Amino acid sequence: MKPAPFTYFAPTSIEETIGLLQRYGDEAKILAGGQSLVPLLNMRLARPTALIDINRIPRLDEIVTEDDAIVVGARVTERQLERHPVVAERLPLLVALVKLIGHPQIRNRGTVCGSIAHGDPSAELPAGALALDATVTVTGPTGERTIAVDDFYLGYLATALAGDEMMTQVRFPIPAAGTGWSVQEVARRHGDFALVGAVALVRVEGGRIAATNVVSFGTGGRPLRFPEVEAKLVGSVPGEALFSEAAEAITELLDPDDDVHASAAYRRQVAGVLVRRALEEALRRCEGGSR
Amino acid sequence: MTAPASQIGLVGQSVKRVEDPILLTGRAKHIDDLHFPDMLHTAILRSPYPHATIVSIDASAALALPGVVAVLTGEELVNHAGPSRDYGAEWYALAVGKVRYVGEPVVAVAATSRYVAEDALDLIDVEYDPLPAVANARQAIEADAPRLYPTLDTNIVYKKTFSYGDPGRALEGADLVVTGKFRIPRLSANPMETAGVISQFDPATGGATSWSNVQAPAVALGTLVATLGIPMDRARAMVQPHGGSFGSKIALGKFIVITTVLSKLCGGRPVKYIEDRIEHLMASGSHAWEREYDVGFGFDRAGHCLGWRMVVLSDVGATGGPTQTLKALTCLVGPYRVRDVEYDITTAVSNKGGDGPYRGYGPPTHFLVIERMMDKAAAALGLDPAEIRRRNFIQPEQFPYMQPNGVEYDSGNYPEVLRVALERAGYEELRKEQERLRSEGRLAGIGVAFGVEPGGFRGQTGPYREWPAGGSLAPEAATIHLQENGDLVVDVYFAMEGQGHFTFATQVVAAYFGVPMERVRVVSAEPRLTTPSTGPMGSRQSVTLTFALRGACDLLREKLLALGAHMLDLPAEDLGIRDGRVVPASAEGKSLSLGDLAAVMHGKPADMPVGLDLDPSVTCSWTAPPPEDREGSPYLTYANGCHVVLLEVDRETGQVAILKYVIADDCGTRLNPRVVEGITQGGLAQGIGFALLEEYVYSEDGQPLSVSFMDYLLPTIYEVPLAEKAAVVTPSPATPYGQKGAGEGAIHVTPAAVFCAVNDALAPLGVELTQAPASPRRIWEAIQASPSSG
Repeated sequence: MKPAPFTYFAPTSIEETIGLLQRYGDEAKILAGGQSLVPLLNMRLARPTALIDINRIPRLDEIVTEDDAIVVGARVTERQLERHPVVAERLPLLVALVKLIGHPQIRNRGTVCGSIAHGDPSAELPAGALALDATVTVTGPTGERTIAVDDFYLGYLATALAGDEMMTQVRFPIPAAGTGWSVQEVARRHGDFALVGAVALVRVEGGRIAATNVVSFGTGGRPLRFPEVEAKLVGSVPGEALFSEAAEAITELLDPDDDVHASAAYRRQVAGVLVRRALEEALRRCEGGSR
Repeated sequence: MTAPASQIGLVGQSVKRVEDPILLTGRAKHIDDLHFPDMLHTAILRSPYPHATIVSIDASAALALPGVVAVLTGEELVNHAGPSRDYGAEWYALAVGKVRYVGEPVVAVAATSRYVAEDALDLIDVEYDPLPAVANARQAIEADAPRLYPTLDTNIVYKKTFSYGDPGRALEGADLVVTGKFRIPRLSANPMETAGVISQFDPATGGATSWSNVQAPAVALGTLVATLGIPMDRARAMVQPHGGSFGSKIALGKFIVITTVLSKLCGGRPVKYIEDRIEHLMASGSHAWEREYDVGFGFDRAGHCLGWRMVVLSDVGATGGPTQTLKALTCLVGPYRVRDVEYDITTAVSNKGGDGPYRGYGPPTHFLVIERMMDKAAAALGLDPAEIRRRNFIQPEQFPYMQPNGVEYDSGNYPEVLRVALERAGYEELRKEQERLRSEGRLAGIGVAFGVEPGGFRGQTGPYREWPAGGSLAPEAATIHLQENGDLVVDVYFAMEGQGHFTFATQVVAAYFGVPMERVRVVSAEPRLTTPSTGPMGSRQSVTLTFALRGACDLLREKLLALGAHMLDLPAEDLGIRDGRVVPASAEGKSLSLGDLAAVMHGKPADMPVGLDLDPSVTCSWTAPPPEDREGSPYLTYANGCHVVLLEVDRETGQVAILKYVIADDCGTRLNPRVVEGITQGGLAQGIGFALLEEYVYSEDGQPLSVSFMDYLLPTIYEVPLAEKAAVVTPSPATPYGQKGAGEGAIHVTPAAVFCAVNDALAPLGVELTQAPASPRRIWEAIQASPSSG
């Protein structure tokens, strides 16, 4: 449980960081909160040559609240987000997601961008970012680029981040006023990664669904969106039968894995249950949605 | 036997624990806090194969790494150390010739830091020739199964049928026979602090010292002497405070062997080894309780249990024996007056991590089975689960109660404990609440479970007679030093573990002499072979240590009275000790403080009488008198408890939510009620882990899949209900204050209570859960099998 030898760098600017990434490429790892990386190092499952600690880079620890978005810098901890009064008021889904992550000790260290960059398919923040149509900003040798989260995740722990790029911020758009939200998950214990989970956003206008985003997580190599199912929901009158139908349709689309905690069959069926429950709860939270 | 009223005082009071300031502020010197000059650090290369021949080991590159001082293989180790044994199986601290489980130590490296030592492991080249693996006990007992040990012509290390009365006739004549099959997972203790050892060999004398967090110092000393051949007078085993053990730190002899031999190879430099969490999870040598049960219980129409037959197949991994399965013989019939019982056990070795002690030492699974069978019978007969238990209890007037196998229960009042538990739980209301939830389509379940707790472990008697424990585990010792200022220093011969031993020891000694607790200080002394002592295990210290303390108090009292008689010029028999003073029985005239007497004992020759032994230190090494019951129970006391739980199962996801938890227990007189409450809550936590979360999963080819806390799930504060706790007090006739061992009671009953409740919740669906832990997946699968689902 001691890491293999590595060289430790503590750059004080993004430029310096990019320089190091260019020098070490895939042999480098960025250390922010370290909640996933340090165990991997200690178990020698990750053996980077260079560890680049970005905790001395200024301004990356800021949460910026814009009119239509919450922008979170690369060093912002999950705890910072959880305790931010504007976030709590304007994007309570983010707070609910973060509260499902580990325990306060973990959230004090773990970073929002770190979780999103790591991209564990059972993690809450990547799923929430996908549901919220979030975008990530990455910086590399040729400058900045912005990537929609849906395009960011390529497969199991694989992202569109290049070896010489670092994620500098994530931007969570604030859904239209009156949008209801919900996150549902089954975990073996409070704070564990989900065995399976769902995030839903629902907005109702004139008694019909005007917009909805549905995400299932823990059910594939990355969090999953279901555009066809969402399209069918939009324009319909919300209700138990409609949501059950949507959940069933999503179940049909899933092909999850087995592990020691849950079988593929369990994940598939319970994923549908959680999608249904998420839609129901989001509807209850909707302005004009409660019946 | 019973302590006089004048010596009770603080005993029974919820005084604050003397351990807390040191443990809770992190001031204790744990083993990894010790740093010696020139100390080396060990890393261990472990087998990646469940079963394989070692073809060759090339460690030359590791030895060449700067900072590496020694590399030790099994082949070299056998020149310095003997094997460990458990009922026929025999193995070395490092694998010799072949490996028998993933995680088995193969090569050990001593280097200037743990980092360098782990780097060196990467450079060791071991060539293995894989052998077919035995993945479980079922495979192990097949006639053509691969054999683990060349010295055994079978993988079965123990097989015996214990039959009492006429179980066959009892079952034939029964109105109702209920049968059941159960699978219990392997699990283990996971203390915050893992095992750790520093050993130093002395080339000048051939002696060796080990500092460790061993739970039972007798085992550490036994390892030095018996396994390493260190001369008895030069073997030292120092103990450091623990960050928990729960049995898992009894089995660290292999680390003492490895570090001592490394020290010897390094010219006597001290060598440290700290087990890491992965090593602990994979290969602590204290995996426990993987068993299959196949049982039949017979009842008459009124719900009286007439007899039962239990067939148990236990998988003890590569290095284990039957002792934890044998412990059920000491509480064979649970709380029930059943006379015709059969207990048939087969213990097999397999290519998995070795079996070893875990809090409770076996009975938790025994009670899970008995209690579940009681519920099944109650359901078949239309009886309430509480009622069927009431009808079968051993009655208060039947104590001392001789079980059919000749093992005696000292005392108890089971109907009263049940009554109190039900009353505290508001049982009738709970059943109404359950009905209400069921009418809403929700799956609510109630568990009512009972267990007895063998406590005050007295040594290898009865079913443990043949146990090769590697040391005598009977005596317990205490030494009392009267300081020059009249304060008392109490030496105990085991480490501070956190259960409250030091607290009640302080209470007992302070009460005996009538001094405030502040004038008594309990410390861990060096365990010595010349002062036979065992250490905590088997819920023994509140019994055995108390006897040792009182024995030492008696010796000191005798001296104080003799000296007091001389100084006061009164006959000793006219004197007594009260409020820290030697006083005349008449309570009139001159008296002497402990300080007055201590001053003389410590060096005022002019005042010393001739011919009196005035050594201000006294030691009592106490061993229980030979058992009087026929079989020889290894336990002196039998506490008991009843748990009542209400929980809800989510019928769509299989999740369990515990809504209410009540415990009533009877461990006789409580030396410190608050300490008992803490111990009970802790046992409950581990029981919840057993019932709902913990399981060492292995693949079908013997690879461990639960090697981090991501996959081996310990309960956290969110998963463990804070139980409402009630006390019933039936004093034990076997102990000075009427106390009984209480360290394991809650973990004995919690798994049964939760398991019964989950099944009660599933009952309306007509399905049953027979395998622990009750994970969402298993519950969901059971629900899917329901004729009414889908």
